[in-house]
Amino acid sequence: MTKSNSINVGSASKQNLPIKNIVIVGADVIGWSAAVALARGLGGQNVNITILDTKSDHAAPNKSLHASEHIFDFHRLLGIQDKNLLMHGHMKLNLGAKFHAFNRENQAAGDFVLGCDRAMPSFCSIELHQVLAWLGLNDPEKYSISCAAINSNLLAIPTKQTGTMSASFSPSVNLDGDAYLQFMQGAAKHLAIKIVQADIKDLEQDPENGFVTQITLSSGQILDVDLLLDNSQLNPALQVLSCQRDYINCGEYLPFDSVLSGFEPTQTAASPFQQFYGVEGGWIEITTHSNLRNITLHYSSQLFQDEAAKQVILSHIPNVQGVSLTRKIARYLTKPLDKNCLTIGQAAGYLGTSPISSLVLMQRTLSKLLELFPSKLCLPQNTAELNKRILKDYQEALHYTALMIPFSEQVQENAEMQRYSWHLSIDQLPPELKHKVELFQSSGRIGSELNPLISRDAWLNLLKHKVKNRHAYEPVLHALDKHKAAQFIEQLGLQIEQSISRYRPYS
Amino acid sequence: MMQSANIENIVIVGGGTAGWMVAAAMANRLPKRLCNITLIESDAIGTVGVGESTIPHIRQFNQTLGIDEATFLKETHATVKLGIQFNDWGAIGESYFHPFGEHGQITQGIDFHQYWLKARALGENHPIEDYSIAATAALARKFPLSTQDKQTKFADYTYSYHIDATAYARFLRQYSQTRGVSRVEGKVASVKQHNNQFIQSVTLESGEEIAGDLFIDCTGFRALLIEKVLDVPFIDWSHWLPTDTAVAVQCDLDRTNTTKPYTQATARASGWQWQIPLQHRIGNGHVFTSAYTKQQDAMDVLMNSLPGKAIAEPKVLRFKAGRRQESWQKNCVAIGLSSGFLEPLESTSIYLIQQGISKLLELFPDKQCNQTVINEYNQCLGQSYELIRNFIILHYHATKRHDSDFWLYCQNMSIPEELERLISLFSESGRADLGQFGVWPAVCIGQNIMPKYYDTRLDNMTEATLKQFMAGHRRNIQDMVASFPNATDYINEQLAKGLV
Repeated sequence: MTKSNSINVGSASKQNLPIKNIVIVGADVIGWSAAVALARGLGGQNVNITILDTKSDHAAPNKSLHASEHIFDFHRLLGIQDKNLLMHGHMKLNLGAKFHAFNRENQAAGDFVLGCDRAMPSFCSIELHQVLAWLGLNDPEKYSISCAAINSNLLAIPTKQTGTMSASFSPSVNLDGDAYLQFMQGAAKHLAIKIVQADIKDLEQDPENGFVTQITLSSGQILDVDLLLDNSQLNPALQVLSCQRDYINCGEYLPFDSVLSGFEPTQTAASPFQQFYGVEGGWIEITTHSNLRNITLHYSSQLFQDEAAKQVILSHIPNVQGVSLTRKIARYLTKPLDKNCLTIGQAAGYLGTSPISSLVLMQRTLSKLLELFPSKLCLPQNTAELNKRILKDYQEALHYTALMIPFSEQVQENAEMQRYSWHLSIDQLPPELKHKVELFQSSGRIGSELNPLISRDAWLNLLKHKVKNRHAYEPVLHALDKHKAAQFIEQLGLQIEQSISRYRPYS
Repeated sequence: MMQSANIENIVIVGGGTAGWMVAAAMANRLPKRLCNITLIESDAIGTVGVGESTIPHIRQFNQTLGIDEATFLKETHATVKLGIQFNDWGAIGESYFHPFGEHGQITQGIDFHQYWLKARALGENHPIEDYSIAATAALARKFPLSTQDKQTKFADYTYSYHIDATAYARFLRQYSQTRGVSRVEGKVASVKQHNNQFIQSVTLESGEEIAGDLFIDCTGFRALLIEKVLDVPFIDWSHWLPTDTAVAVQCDLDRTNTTKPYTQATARASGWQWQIPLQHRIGNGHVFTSAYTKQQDAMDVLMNSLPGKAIAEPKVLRFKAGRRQESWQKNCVAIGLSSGFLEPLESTSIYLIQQGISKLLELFPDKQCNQTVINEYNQCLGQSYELIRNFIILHYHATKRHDSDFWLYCQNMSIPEELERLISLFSESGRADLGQFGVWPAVCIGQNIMPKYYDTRLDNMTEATLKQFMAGHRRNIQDMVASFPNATDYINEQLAKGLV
């Protein structure tokens, strides 16, 4: 058996001490959630977690947050009961989204409903979408239970029961930003997370390696730092750190640098879906909560004047309130963890508020941080591996968003058919995404990856709506009984109707 | 949608393990109404009969084909395998075990081997094998009676087989033929191509012409279609994996002893030697590098260290490590040795055949063989080959042996960048990249890549608590293994089931 030991692990590790002091700069919902995640994930560890609430990082609180299905995994890590959030109406399940006016057609013909089905039924082990293509049924929504629920405004809750139609979908959620923040603050109280309200006066760095070692506050208090989570909105006191950061700019794909958002209080029934509208300068996202409707216009300042943007919002929601404008560039950091500073939140990357929000990307980043939790030395290989894993998420989020929003199949066919100047043709997509689209076009196939941000089923759901120009379907189908397949599909339609009849109205 | 014409005729050139695995999987998956499957093989051409040792994925393959374990064990004279024992690899006199299944379990979000590293830093010297159910059971020649993979409180484990690959091919031939695959006896004399280079037909020495829409090249090292006809180059990896010859011989098995439920791989002066027990004999072989050892010397090493009396003449096999630049080109897919060769150190030959088959079925083409689909296939297969290649190089490169020029070469050779990165990652603080092939901590630690640091979160655990935790773990595994029957009993029980 192996006994030889060339390196004395014991003595070497003496200099490699565990992280004791974690400081999170920026006390918004992302900062608090990160604090709770760390406190939970490092349970049993001797760590001090401090949230630094600086005035300069106070952005307008987000009333409306969107989070993809990953939030449930995150809540599990945190020991949060989803039903508590659901019961109080702070979290609303979202079965998908309705897309309006994204295609060249002026009428509703190009509109579609994107469901959240997972593990769709199959016929003779051939995927449903292939069977539908074979039978020439071009309406995938009809055979999706989440789409059916959306179209009928019903609440469908996924169950663990197998064999039932409701077993196979994976909703995203709309969160009431204020309530979610309070919820996280409440959770933090039980976890001995410290909150300090002060501005940063000075930053002490190790002259040798540039690690941040201490933060001096305006109050005179000094915080020791082993690991810094920078969730600031580019806090000027942290400029010495942030000025060295390299970003991958995604403006080429997502040129929407302006975000105009507002809300309308409403008691009318919330709906189980988001709505997206394509408009001249960008796109609109409408999300409903239990007491308000939130509207966000993502647009390119090159294509739209801010005033025109306001008019667009008003035309959708005439009674809109609290309209605020922010400028954000779609981009992400090449090294989220640099030295002993992990950037999270919007400074780490921004790829829109939907479908993959900064909240979800932070949550995934934190899970990865816990998998590869560093020591005080923040060892270089470990850091590189962590950054590699985080970057993969951002890249996938970019690809998914680029496919969902700007990609349009018609552009390539005929440039005159291009409806919006921000539309991207297949040749303008990032190369990996282009391959994905081409593979789907060629035969309806999708590759799969390990621990992806976007599951294979989620890609499939989107691809089948966005990529209509398919050259072929699964050839094996030809050998099957078309009549039986048609029966199977009919049966499926009936099953969906039956399941739907058991769902309650969403409100 | 413009569906192009379906593939109606599939021609598999070459029998052997790869050919018949392809035939069986296709006959199982593709309805007879869709296409005819023809396999051409010649009794005059011997098969290599690759890989008597396998990895757990083969069970999935059998399951998909509906082959039950009892039949499989009977037909292929198989024994069970819980992993590989590597002797003299890290250094002469050392031994480690690469088990099927992890050591311990992730506890409080921290990988188990981190606990082991910390315990080691505190002076504990229990080998990491003591925390693996598969390794502990294997070394005690035990095997759990339940055929299910177990996820226990202490660790998980799974298993695989040692098989007679020729018998497996024979069995699959029968399986395929009863499911409509036609077998044609004969040697391919010439090949016709369409204007677009697609293969149109193969003509046998008998003059018979067999046309097809899709051709599977299972002709082994000869690569009759993919290389000789389509000219797809071979990427040579022999500078990283310099072994190029194997001598193999079967010997008697002492049936009074319990069979070892594991493969043994013992490093030699310029290669390594395998020992693979079947129900009725033991397969042995010596893989070596002809530049460093004469064939006769290698043969002597093998013959002088057989665990029983030789029952056949030794066979010599020559090879070169590498892979086909594109396994799939036009309407021809190379599967098996025609697509690439990686030496049998980690028993991956059959696994790579399986990968080729499952990707092909997943991406099954129409007559046009869309290039995007082909690219996807080649990219996926290329990745599989490279993952395994890097893993095998690791065994040669990370060694302290300096008893021969061969080992000095391996230690000092430049290695693929990706492997360099993976080794640095592990040697820094015991981290492994996701999605790697094999159990990296087992092999890295076994090969003396000892991480400089462990996860410092464990410094918050007192020495006493840690030692108690580790001891509890060992005890649990020992107790569990003690309750397992002998490995041979398991096989006998399964065989008896098959008789009922």
